[in-house]
Amino acid sequence: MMKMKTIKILLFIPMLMMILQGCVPLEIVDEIQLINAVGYDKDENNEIRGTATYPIYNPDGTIDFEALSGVSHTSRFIFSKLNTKSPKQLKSGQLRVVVFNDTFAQDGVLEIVNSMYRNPSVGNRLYMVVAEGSSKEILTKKYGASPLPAIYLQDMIEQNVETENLPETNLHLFLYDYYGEGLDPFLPLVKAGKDTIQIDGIALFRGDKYVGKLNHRESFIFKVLIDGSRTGQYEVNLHKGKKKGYAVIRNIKGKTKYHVKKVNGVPEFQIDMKILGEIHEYPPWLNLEIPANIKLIEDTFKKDVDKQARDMIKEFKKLHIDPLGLGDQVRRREKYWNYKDFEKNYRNIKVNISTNIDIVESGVIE
Amino acid sequence: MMKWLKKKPKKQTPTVDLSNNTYRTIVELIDHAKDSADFIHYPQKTVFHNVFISYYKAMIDGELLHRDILPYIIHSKEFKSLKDLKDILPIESVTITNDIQEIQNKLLRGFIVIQFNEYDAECAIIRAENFATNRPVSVSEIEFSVIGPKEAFIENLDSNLYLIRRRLPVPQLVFKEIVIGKYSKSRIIIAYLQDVADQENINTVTQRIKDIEFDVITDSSLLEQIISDNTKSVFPQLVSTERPDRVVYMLNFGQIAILSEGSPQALLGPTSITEYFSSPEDYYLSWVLGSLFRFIRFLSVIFSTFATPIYVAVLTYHYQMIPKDLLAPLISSRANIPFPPVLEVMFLELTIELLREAGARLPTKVGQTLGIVGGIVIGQASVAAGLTSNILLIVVALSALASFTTPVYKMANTIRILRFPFIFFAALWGGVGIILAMSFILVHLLRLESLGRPYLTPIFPPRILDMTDSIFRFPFNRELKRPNSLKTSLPSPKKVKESRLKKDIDE
Repeated sequence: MMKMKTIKILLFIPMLMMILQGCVPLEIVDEIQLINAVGYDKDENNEIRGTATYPIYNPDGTIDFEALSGVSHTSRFIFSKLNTKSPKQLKSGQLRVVVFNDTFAQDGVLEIVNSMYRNPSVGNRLYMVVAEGSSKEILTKKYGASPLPAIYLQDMIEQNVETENLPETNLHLFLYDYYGEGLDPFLPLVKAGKDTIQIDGIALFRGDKYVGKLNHRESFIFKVLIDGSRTGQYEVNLHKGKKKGYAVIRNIKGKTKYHVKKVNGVPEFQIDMKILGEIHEYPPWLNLEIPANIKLIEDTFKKDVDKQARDMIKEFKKLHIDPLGLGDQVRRREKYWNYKDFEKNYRNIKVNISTNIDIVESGVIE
Repeated sequence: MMKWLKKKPKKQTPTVDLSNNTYRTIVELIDHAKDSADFIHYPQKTVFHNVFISYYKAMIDGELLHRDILPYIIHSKEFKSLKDLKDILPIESVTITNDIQEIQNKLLRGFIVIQFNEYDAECAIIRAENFATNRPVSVSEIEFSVIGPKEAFIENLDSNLYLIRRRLPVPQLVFKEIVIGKYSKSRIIIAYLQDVADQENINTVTQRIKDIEFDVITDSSLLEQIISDNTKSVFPQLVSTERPDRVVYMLNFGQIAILSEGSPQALLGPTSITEYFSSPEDYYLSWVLGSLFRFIRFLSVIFSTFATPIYVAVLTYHYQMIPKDLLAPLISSRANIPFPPVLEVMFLELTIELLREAGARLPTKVGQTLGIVGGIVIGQASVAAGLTSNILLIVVALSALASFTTPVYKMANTIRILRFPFIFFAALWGGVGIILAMSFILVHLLRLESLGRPYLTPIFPPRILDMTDSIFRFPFNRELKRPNSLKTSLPSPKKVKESRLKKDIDE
C-alpha cells in the first residue's frame, strides 16, 4: 500500500502545475507583434505622438514592416492606444531603437527613458537616437539599405560605434551618465536623407534635455576624449607653401589621460591625448619618403586636434554640460567631493590639453 | 617440524549454489527426469556388470560419448567399481559422488551419470558438455570501434571468461561463481583483480547477487536492474558492455565485472556518470583526439537534452531573447503552423521516436528503407503541409543524431527519454521550467549511487585526479594512478616522474 505522504505528493504536484500554469503569460512568438523601433515626436497640443514599427515576416521569407501612430500624454498609454489598431498584441521585448525628435528631446526625455528602463523586457543595450526632423517620418519611410528601418538604424549605429567616430552609446550608458554626478549624457544624432538615414554627429544633453550637438568631424576627437578609441578617421587640411590638399588619417590607437590638480581648492585639468595614426590618403605632391613631410601632417593634425578639443571644452562650458565627465574624474580622485561646488566653478575651471600625435604607418594600407 | 607453522593448503572456493531447487533423492530425480523426451536412461552391459547410463541427449556431446566413454566402459576389463572409471576414461573430470544436488546440477548441464543400479545413490559423473551449438566469437556490433580489438562477448559464459583471462593471465584475476535463479540456475561470475579491487565493493556485489530471488535470469540486464542501487531511476547504474577490452581496462582500475551465463554483455561497476560517455576508442586514438571526441560527446548530450525544450521555452515565453537575425527565419517558418510550439515539437519528437522504435523492431534491410522513408518523406511532407517548421525539423533531427553519440546503449536510451520531461516543463513554465526540471535531475543524480559509490564522482564529490580519465583523457604517462573514487587497494606506482621520461639514448 502506498503511504499517505506519497499519495499527497502525487496529488499535489499535478495540482500545482495546473494552478501555476496560468502565472506565466503565453507569448508565442508568431502570435504577437514585435515592435522593434519607437519614435517620439511632439504633437501640436504638446502631447506625445508615438510611432511604433514592427516587422511582418511573410511565409515566403520576405519581410515588410508596418507602423502605427498614436497620440497621448504618456508613452505607455500610447501603446494601449496602438493596441486598439493592431490585430495582434504589441510587445516591446524586441525593441532595438528609440528615436526622439529634436524638439521633443529639448523638452526632456526622462519620462520615456525611465519607463523603458523599468520595463524588464526592454534590454539595456537598446539604442536611442535624436533625429533632426520628424521621427515618424524616419520610421515610416522605406529604405533600400534594409527592409526594416529599425534594423537599418540599429546596424548603422552598431557599425559606426565599432569602426567609425561614434562613441559607445546605449540605454544603460545614457542612464549612467544621467544619474552619475559630474556626467552628462549624449546620444547619436541622425538625419533622414532622401532614402537613407545618416549619422549627423552627437547630440549633447544637459540632464535629460537636448541642448547642443557635435558634428561628425568633432565626434572623432570626442570619442578619443571619452575613453580612448581604436577607430575613426580624420581629414586634415594641409598647406605647404602655395600647395593645398587633404590627408586622411586613420586612428590606430587613441588614448586620453586625465590629470587633476587642486589649486586653491579648484581642480585644474591636464588632459594628455595620445593618438597613433596611419596615413590613408595624402595629396600627390607630398612625398612621404621625406620624414619632414610626415612631420608636417603630424603637426597639422596636432594643431587641429588641439584647437578642436579646446573649442569643444569651451563650448561645453558655455552650455554648462559635462559629457566628458570632468566632474566624474575629480570625484574618482577625491573622497569628499561636492558636486554642487564643482558645478558652481565649472565655467572657470582651467583645462589644459596636450596632444601627442604619432604617425606610425604611411605605407600599404589595410 | 612444527606442523602448525606450515601453511595449510587452501581449498578452492566452491561455487555458491543458491538456486535451491533440487530433489531429495536420486529416485525422485530419475523418475521425474524420465518425463522428458530428451532424457536418456538405459542399462548397458559391460564386462563384469550392468551399468545405468543417463544423460540429457541435447546437452551432451554425442561424439565424445561414443568415442571416449562407451568403448572404455564396455570393453575394459579393469572396470570393477565406479572408482575405476577415473583411471579407465581418458577424461579428466570424472567425479564419484552421492551428493544429489551435484548430481542433478551436472546432469542438467551436460554431464553423463553412470550408476550400477538404476536408483543407486552413488554415481559417477563424467563431463561431456556439448559446445557445438555455440555462436563463434564475433565482431562487436553495439559498441563498434574502427580501431582496436573487435571481439565481443557471446552467450557462452566460459568463452567469455576465456576472452578476459586471455588478456589478464594472472592468478590475481578471480572469477567467483554464484548460481542463482530457481529455474534458470544461471551461473553468475563476479570477476575482479584481487589486489586492485576494493574488498568493500566485492562484498557489496557478492551480497547483492546472493540476495537475488528470481526464477529465470535470461540476461545480465535483468541482473543490472535487480542489483541497481536505485531501481526507480532511469539512469543505468552499471555499464553493460560487450567488449572484453573495456572490461579488462576497467578491471585494472579496480572495478568489478559481472558476467552471466547466456548473456553477451558484462556489467561493470561501481561506475560514475562520465564512464557512460567514454568509448574504448578514446584510448586507441591519440589523447588529444580522445579528449576532444569525449568533449564532443558531452556537448551532444547537453544539446540533445536541451535543444527542443529551449525551442519550446523561447518561442512560447521568451521571445525577447531571440537574436534579431534569427527572428525572420523563425517567424516566417512558423507563420502557417496552427499549433503552439509544444505540440509542434511533440509531433516531431514522437515521429522520430516512432521511426527509431520501428527501425529497431524491423529486420535490418527493411529498417534502412524505413529510415529513408521516415526521415526524408515524413519530414519534408510535414513541413510542406504546415505541421512543423523547418527550423524545428533541423533541431529535432540534430538532437536525435546527438543522442546517438553516447557509446553505452542504455545511457543513449536514457538521454532520449530525458528530453520529454524537459519539454513538458518548458511548455509549462518556460525557462523557469527547464531550470526546475534540471534541478530535479541534478538532485536525483547527486543522490544516485552505483554499488554504494557516488554516481557523479569526479564532478561531485570533486576528485581532480580522477578527471584525468573521465572528463578528459590524458596521455597514459600522466594517468598512472588508479581512480580515487574506486578506493582501490593498490592505488598507484610511486615513481611517476621517472616513468614519464623516455629512456632513449641521446646521440
